Amino acid sequence: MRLIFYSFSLISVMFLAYLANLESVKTKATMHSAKLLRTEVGELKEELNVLNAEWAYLNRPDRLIDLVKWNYKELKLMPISAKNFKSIKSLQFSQSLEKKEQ
Amino acid sequence: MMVRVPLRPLAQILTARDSGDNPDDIEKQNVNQRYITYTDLTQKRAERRLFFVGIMFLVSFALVCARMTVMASSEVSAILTEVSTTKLISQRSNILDRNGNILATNLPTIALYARPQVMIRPKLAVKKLIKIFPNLDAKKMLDDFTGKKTFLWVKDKLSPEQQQAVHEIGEPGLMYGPREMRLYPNGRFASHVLGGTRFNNQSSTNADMVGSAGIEASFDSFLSDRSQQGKALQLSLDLSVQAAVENILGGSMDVMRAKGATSIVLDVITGEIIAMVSLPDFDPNNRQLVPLGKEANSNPLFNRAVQGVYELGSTYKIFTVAKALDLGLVDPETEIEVFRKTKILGTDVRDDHYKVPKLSVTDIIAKSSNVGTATLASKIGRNNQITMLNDLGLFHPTEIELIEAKSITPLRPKKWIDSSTVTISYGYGLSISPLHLAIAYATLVNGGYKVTPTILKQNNKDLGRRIISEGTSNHLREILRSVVQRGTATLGNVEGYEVGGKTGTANKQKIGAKGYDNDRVVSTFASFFPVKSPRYVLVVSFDEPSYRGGKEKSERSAGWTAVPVSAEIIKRIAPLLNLRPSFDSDQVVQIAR
Repeated sequence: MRLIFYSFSLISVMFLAYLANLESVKTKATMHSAKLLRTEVGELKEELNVLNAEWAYLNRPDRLIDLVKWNYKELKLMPISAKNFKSIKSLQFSQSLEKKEQ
Repeated sequence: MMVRVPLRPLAQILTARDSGDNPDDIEKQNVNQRYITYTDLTQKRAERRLFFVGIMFLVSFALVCARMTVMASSEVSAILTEVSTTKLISQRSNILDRNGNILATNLPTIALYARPQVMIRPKLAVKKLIKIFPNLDAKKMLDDFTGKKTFLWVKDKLSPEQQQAVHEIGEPGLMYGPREMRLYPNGRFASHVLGGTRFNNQSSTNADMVGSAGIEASFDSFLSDRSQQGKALQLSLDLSVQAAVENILGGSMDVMRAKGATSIVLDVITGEIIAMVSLPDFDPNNRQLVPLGKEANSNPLFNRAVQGVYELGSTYKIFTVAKALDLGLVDPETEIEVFRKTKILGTDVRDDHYKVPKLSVTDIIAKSSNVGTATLASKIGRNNQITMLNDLGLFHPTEIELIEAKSITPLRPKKWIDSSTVTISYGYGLSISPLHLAIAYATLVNGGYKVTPTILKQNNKDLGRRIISEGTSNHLREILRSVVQRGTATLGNVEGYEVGGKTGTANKQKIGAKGYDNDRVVSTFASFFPVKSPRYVLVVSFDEPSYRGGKEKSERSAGWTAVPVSAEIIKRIAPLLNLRPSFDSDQVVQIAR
């Protein structure tokens, strides 16, 4: 009886040690992949930062003003002014539209 | 101590012999007794040892359990920080405008350093480096490369092309260190507000960036605080408005051949600075340190909007009128006698260009009458005048978060005599910055609440303490509107937006002599819009403008210089600021399908 008890205890300890080792290996692997992921995140963040900086540089007011000037013939872009606004009362819809509505 | 008993004690043997017993039995008995004592002793010792080992096992087990519990219950981040890689990027937080546009960010770059001890051909290296970087001092570099130095920096920032060119020199003594540089993608725009950075504590693997001017310096601890995890600093500036104001002002400054110009757009309720321009300006990406010195005014690093203090002339007149109205001494229609030349409080005051005997309080401002304003100043008295100017914040540095503004105190007379009361009422004798003027105008037109300027975006801000009554503020709005409608600023009318304001053309003090120079002026227009419910104050000021515009005599007055420029600025920025224009006529517009 005592032998069975001792054998069972020994086997249990070995099994638990195996499980603990398995978990340890898994944890190490996860930590390694987390390290890789963090490096990747860092690199992507760096890339994103550079892209944001480039985007801001491309959209700098000086360049946009120049683009408007260069493409004036096609786009005819002008600064927005009070002339671009009208009151709703002053709008008259075309007759064809009114007929359709009737 | 254990007493050893002999196995055959003579006394017992003799007694046994006498009684006829076998004396060997006594020996056996004693041997047996000795064995029992010995086994008892060893058993106790073994038990003690087993107990000790058991305790050791228990303690070790408890320790292992405790460690496992700690590991199981610890936060994930604690493990992650252990495995985190140290990245250079985002060492310093970004700076954004109110709409989230990037004003300042970081870029990875490379710094070039040299180790002269391992250099093979220093002369050739210098020759080739000069070709790549013409600004470097060849002689000094050759001295350094051939001298006793073991380490020296050659260049702070290298572009990839430059790095490739340095690679091609093939000199093993030239090495690279990773760096992060500050990038201002919008170039010159808002350069004075942003300021600049410089490297501190350089090493071959890293360098700290510290703010050297503007927002970069005043918020240095926030921007370089890594616990903020890259949280950006959001300013109240609007990049589109800033760019529009800067372009218009720059163009006008060239036309008027002015030495400098400045402009501020300020929210009258929150005190947020929407745009702040000071010309000439600089590129913060390449900020050259030039000491301000005596000629500070022409130095591009000098921020006229907050650092320049000027006598801003007739723009001050409204302060006297505001106090007179607030005290109930006059109303906008009260007529005041205006002599062409008179003595007020013992000081000579002239109004050369008016021939009418009387002007209403409104017309005193609309026509910018020195005599009328000085008369009102004498009515309100010195103490009331000082209280008013103090309440408007014209005696102290502004509270804006720019590092340059903290030391700028307006210049006021050491002794406030009667003549000070008179001259300051129409703009001479008190020097303030254009920002001071913008704050004072905002306070006068926003209903009378004190405005605290800020460069940071505000979501909710409580109104400041009341300086003048709401009624007075309403009167002042109408009076300032009349300046644009029929006074000295008629060129300030903008289609769709009602503008009010006051001009000021102040002669500058002679250089190296007493008195004022008629040919050198500071022309200012302090305006606000829309008049009915003011949202923004705009101050435009030119230093020594001279506008000819096809005429024989050049015009220097604010009405011809600062006013039309202000009108152009308002025309451009009002729609950008989401202000709805007012419509005079309901002209019918045909909408196509």
